[in-house]
Amino acid sequence: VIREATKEDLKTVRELWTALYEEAPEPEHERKNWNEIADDVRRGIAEHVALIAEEDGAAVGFLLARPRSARVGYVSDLYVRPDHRRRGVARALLLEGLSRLDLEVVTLDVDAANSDARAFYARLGFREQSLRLAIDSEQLA
Amino acid sequence: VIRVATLDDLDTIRTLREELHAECPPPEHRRKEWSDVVDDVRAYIGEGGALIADEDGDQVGFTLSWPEGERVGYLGLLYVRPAYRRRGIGRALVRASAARLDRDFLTLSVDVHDQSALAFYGRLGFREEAIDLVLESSRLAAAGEHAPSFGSVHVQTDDVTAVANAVRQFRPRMPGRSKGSVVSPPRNGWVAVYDELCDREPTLLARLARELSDRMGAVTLALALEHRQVVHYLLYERGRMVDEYVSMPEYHGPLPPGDVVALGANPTVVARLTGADPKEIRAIARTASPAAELPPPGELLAALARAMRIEGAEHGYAHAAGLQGATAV
Repeated sequence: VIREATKEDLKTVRELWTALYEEAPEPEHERKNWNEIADDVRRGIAEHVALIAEEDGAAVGFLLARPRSARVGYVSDLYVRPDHRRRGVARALLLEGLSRLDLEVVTLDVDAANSDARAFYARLGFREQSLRLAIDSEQLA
Repeated sequence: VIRVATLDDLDTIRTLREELHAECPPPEHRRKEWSDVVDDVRAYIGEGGALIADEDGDQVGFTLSWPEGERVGYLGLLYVRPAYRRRGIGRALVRASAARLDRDFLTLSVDVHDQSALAFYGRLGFREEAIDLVLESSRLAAAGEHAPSFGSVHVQTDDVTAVANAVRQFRPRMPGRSKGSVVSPPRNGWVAVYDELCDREPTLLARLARELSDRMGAVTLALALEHRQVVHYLLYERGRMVDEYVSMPEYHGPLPPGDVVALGANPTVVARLTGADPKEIRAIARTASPAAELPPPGELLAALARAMRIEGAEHGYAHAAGLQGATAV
């Protein structure tokens, strides 16, 4: 079941977000802790798109998305717990999230090394557009 | 000479930015008019984040960069006029920006198809971190589970050992895990490479072909049948892509007319590099949308390979294991 998150779900979202972060850490220079994003999540629940996927009463996945402009939306987080994958949960979360955003264009980003995620989004019709590159500044000196 | 821009350079930056966007158009949903960005550019100039490259009194390149938090600097735009490239000006602009920003990391975004920019930043030591994906919502309704893809890379050489070594060196640098690669014995002067991950990820097949061409200084061809519908090849010479063909250029969505033309085959280039008859290539490598005007994609792929005298292009990694005399990497 996909349902909208409410402010009572903040703890649930935190648990899922932490699991996502542990499984797929951001690059070192983009790492954040929960306190830095908690306000964004609260705002997301109140104003934007925040969904929770439940199976047998347990929260097994979540999605956060928000508009970036009048035409473009951005999916900032999408996660399904490993033991609930390959059943279409992520797909259902994403389709519900996109229909709630209701914008012409949707963007998101994935770790370049995460070929499972890249294949998942490609199957849904996403195109790979730009690569984000990074370097330690010392290497340029 | 690299120098910090002043407000007097605003027109120069406007001109160079327009040249940059004429050469590398930004994606449509990110396109902005000068009037939308001029205040930002003024602010970057004020912060010392706009740099100009001068040569003999002419402004030949520029860059805009800004901090993103305490530890990260972002290189927003970088451009050097074509006539002044390959002299280290771009590199000097990147270095000067990094030095002025004085952050631990420097990041930037590059179009996934911009091979020359990817090669440039790769040489400087940048690593790939994240990929931005985009979906036009109108395409979602049509999107479903795609049929699988497969492809192969063909290297114009008889030196199987060199190909296998190059594949071995490249594999750890591919994002994601490949279940295996197979290198064929030479056939008609070509050695074929099949890779499990590249079958699933057509963009990686192209990268493998570019890398093998670059490392071996050889002609390479990536030839794929994508989603059992689209025939796609990329031809590389000494690491540079010299021709690309997509049988249904608009399979992935509508393109501007110029891009559709660019995705047609160039029979002269193919003939020069593979010895194929240019007339035959012209007759086979047609583009169409919808596909009804083309032969079935499998036949199209086979006919193309035959015209280029390439064997073993009709299958991917899954059917390469039993190949006689093949080397598993």
